[in-house]
Amino acid sequence: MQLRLRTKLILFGLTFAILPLGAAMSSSILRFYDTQRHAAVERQARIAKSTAQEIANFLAIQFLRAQEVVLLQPELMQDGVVRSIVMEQLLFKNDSFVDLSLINADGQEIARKHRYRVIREDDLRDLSASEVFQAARQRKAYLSDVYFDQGRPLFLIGDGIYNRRNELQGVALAEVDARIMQQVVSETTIAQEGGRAYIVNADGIVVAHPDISTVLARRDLSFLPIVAALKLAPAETSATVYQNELGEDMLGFWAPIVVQLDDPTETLWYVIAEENASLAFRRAREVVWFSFVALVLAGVLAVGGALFISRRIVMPIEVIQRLAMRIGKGDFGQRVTVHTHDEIEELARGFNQMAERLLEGKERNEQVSRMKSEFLAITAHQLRTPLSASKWVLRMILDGDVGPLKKPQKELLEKGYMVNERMITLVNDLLDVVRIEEGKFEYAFKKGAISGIIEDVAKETKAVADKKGIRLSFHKPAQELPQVALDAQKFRLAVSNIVDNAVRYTKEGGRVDIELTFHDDEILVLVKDTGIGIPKKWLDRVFTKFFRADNAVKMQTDGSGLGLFIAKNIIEKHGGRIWFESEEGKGTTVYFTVPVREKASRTNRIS
Amino acid sequence: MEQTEQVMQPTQKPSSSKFVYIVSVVLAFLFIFFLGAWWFLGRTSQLQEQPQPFRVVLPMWDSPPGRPLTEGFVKKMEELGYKEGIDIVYKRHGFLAPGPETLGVVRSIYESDLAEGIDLIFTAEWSDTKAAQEATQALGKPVPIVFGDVTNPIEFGFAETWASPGANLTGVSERRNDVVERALELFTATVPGIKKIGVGAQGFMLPDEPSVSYYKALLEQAEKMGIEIVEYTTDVPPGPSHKEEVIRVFDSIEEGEVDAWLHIPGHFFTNQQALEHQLALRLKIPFMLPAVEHNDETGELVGLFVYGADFVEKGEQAAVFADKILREGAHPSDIPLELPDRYILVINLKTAEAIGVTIPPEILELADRIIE
Repeated sequence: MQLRLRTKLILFGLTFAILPLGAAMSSSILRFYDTQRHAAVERQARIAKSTAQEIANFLAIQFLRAQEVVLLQPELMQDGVVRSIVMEQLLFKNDSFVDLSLINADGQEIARKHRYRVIREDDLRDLSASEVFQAARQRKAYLSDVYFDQGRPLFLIGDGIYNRRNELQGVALAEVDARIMQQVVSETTIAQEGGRAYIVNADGIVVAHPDISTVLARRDLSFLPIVAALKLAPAETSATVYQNELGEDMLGFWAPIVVQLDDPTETLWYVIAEENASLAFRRAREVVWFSFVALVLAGVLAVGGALFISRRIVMPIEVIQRLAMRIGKGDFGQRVTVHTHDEIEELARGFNQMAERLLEGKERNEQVSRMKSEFLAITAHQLRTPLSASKWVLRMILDGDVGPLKKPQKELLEKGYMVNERMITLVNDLLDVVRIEEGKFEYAFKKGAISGIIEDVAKETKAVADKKGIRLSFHKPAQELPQVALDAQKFRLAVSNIVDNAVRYTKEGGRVDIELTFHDDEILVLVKDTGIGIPKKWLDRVFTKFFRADNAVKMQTDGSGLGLFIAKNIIEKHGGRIWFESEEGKGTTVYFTVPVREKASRTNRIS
Repeated sequence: MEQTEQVMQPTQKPSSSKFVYIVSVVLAFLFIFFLGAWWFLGRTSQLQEQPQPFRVVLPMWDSPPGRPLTEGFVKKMEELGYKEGIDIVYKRHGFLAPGPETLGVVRSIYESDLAEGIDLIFTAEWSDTKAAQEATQALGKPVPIVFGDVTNPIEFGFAETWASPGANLTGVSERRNDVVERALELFTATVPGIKKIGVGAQGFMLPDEPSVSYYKALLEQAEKMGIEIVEYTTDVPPGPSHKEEVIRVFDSIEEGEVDAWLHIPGHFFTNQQALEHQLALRLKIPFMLPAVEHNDETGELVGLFVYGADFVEKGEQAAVFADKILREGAHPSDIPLELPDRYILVINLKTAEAIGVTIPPEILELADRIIE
């Protein structure tokens, strides 16, 4: 496959700019991409932990507010009415508290207020066996799971109150409306930044969610990979990419909620902080995109550079190449002017010098050729006159105009006459060649039939053929051939040269067949002989002047080598084509055509 | 004749620049193509993002939460991005005074709206929710219904469970009856010494299930607290002259007959709370309401004491339900019922001043809203 220099340069630019750049960039891009992904995961972990901390802080505040009921202890507050008022205020102070109570060291409720119900003495409970009281006895804060009271989600928080000797004095217990957690998770940092945080318990049930319906429906999110992973190994937190319940790709991280009171209090709640994966990994993606754009830009620059170089280098070379082809076709007047101030300009200058030499050589050749033609013309003319005179003198003597001849005399004179004839033919051929080359071989086209001319030539040549023992056959066409525009004399000369050649180089016992056919608006003539044929090495010189193949020279010493040259010129002047097929030792077939369609135009032109 | 082909760089335009020209044209074509594609796709997605506006029927039942619920609903919907006339079209039929025949009218309006094609019905309370439920069932068109103030929805057959309503209804529910005693406790703490509380009972209040059950709860809880409920009734049927009957009865009440007045939710005369407020001012007695209510004509908050939810806030809460249904395509049966976000204690000091009552500071400490 041939590639143009310009294409090669572009490919070169692309190959040596993009491939090395791509190879160099790819490893660093991949490393940077991994770093960015890792950073995104770490960031997500930080966010989850900080979100867990935010929620833990909120819960810690709830614990502290609940602990304010310590003020209600009988030893601190004796007046029952005042205690009721203070209790009421403590309850209403915190919008999320539904129920608030103080439990004494024996596990008995001694003060209690409910946001929606009236609490009487007989509503005070014995909570000595409750989980919250037992936790307080073990110096642990208590946080229950979420439970529902007729559509209201609630959870309990409780913490012990201890004296200086670290003895349990009482327990503060608050029932909290879990809907407050919706606000808490909605106001976390990640939620403000477009992400989402929610809380699930150890069973995967939603405890707090920006969409309160999820909590109220007690939705189990265990089907989410992150929740499933959490349930399997709550202690091993890790980032997970998954599809959430809305079908969005998320990067999520979970963290346990640990409330920091006097001691860290572990809860059974886990915060899941998740962010749209495409947002979380946007930096990593940007890196890839930036690299891709850089690569494309490099490619564009490489192509642009190649185009620029091609303008500087390839274009002058292309001009020189184009002009070289024109010179090759004989147009020696072409010159190129290049102002690149480099080797290309030198090349152009050298090219021009070469063209100059070629032009000089051509002119010299033409001059020599002209001199040769003039010489031939003069020589032929000078020879023709005495040869013609000799011909007539010999004819008269042979015809007995000067008296009877003895047989030996007559035979001798006949030989002389034949030699003279061949000399005249040679001179005529030379004169024809000179005229052809000088463009003075004039034609007078008229409408006529070629079959008659060819048949006449065949008849004329048949005598010679018969004498040589060659069977010359003219095969008349099956149909009547259309008339064509032709110069009958010139056409006859061409046909005569071809048929003469066929007979001349066919040995005794051989055949020469002449056939005419008509198809495709042209008449095809073939002259087929069983002669000596033309050696392969000379096939391309058959129609050149003075050419005679070596086997022809051996067989027939005389012959000008001009016949086929003249025939070719005449056929082509008639608008036809001439070619041949030959095999040495087996014979030659010469084909030529005469067009029918161009007859009118040629006739008009001539007339 | 000698011909010369010159290559002058860079001023002369060479024939080989044809390649550059073609590349430039192709790049320009690609740029224009992608620009056009981007514009077209953007426009297509814009077109896709602008579907027909949602058609929502607003409450027409006015006894009296219809107006404040509507106010809160429309306000919140706008905050959620629903521009009226562009994203959402509200069908406002005006507010109809409750009455035995009104319910049929409301139901026929819903049926007419359903036949026209609507996306959601927002109702106020038990009566119009019932009408909407019956209309959707009758026409076999389970268009979502979101209610703003329905008491005991499971007991009254609007939902199967709190977590999963189960049909085409969901919304904000109330447990007003459960809070009656606590409200009375706080009320009597606000104005100590209340022993007799007057109410507009039979003939004034709607005979529907929520009102009847609330009244029953009131009687039970008041008795527990040693408070007597003084009933005022009328035999005049609801109608155009009902307001005059309310005024006549109220005018007939003399000072000392009752220590306080309590508003029963659900009444025939829609602006009854305003007349009750005037009555309380005349008798210089405290007036308690189970929810924040206003004079429909002046917009002024009525009463001295409120312990309950704000209808405007409940309307806003209901809008979130509507948003889930309209935008997210959620089904009402999948959206759990919700209680009001909060109960608030409101003390109207203007009223207190007018009736010569001093509110104890410990109650003012508890109040979520103090009207001064």
